[in-house]
Amino acid sequence: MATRTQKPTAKSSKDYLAEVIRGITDISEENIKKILDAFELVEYDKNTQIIKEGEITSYVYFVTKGIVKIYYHSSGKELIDWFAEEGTFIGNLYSHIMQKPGFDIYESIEDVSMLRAKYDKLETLFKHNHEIESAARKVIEQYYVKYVERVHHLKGLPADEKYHLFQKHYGDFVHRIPLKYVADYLGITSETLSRIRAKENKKKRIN
Amino acid sequence: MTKHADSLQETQAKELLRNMLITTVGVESAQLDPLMDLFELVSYKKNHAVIEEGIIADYFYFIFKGVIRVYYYKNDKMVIERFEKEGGLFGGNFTHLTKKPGTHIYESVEEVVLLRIKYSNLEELCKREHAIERVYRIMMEAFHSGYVERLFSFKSLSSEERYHEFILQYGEIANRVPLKDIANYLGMTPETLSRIRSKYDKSHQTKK
Repeated sequence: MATRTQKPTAKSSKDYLAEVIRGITDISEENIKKILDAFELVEYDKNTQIIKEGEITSYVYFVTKGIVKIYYHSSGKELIDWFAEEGTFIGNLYSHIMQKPGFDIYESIEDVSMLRAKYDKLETLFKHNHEIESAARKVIEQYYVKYVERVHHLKGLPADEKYHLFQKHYGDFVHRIPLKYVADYLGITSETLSRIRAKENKKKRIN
Repeated sequence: MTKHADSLQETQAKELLRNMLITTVGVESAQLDPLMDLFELVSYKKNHAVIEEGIIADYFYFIFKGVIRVYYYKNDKMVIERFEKEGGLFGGNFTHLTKKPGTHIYESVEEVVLLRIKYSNLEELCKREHAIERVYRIMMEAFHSGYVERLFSFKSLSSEERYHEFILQYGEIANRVPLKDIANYLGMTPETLSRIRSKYDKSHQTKK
């Protein structure tokens, strides 16, 4: 994986995507190339809304640098669904399939580089190529598993367990997300989260 | 159940599944034949755990008759995640992919008649038949969208709106599932739900 300090190029981004696809499924290099050809590099500054509320998405994205926050508004409050980091596919599948306006907002919380492809273009590829369709299905399965684990498993847990689980899922990139976002995502106050974090750091120092 | 009645049910169940796939995916009926051959009919009495906690599920299910309650335990408290009714699909939350023992229990709320297929057989067929891989891919997407929609309506709405959404999504299931289970699912007390329900019924009677 390219280091985060370097700005990804179209070439390095596509190499990264190819590597992730190979990790998910057995696929010929010829078909990998066909998939990569459907993608283009896009870049967004920090705090840009990539997919807006009420939009019907026509793209699927693959994050090659940065973090995207996925959230929605409810009774004037911002509720965070999840965070997408490097190596993650995003795209409002719900809005695309239902052809209904999406309720989620996708916003960069760092400068972000992504590859994107039009759903239509990919659909055509799937239709004509068995191996690529199979790869797509496996990617969707993995995405779904990840989504269920992230969103669902937090329900009903005590605050400190939620945070531990969050750390486990997200690894070292926890430190790149502003504290108030993490608190919001976990459904706890920033103060509670600070307390949990301080307790943890203390434990680490003793060990 | 007699053998004859069983085979009649199996034919009807497969017809229902076939039509659902044709409508959702736009596949041709004949292309579904090898898939249908892999499904078998099973039936269970009320309150039977079709998928138990702590196992890796081998089968994917289609509900022909009955209602399934999907729940798990958190800090010794039962939490109902969702219900599945006729025409619904369920399969153990992808434990066959993660290879981690499942945390969810899939239990019949009333007597259920199901079609089931082994994941390994489905996977093998997908490799051989592009049309089936296509069916699987599109169903997977639909599955995911349904999950997202349910989760969203759960988190962002008021108690009352949640109940209305529940009626919209689940229809007459609402009358077949115990009140306390629905309250658990919607994250409110049975008392609150009773209040919302009587208000709802009243306003619907007035409209009629």
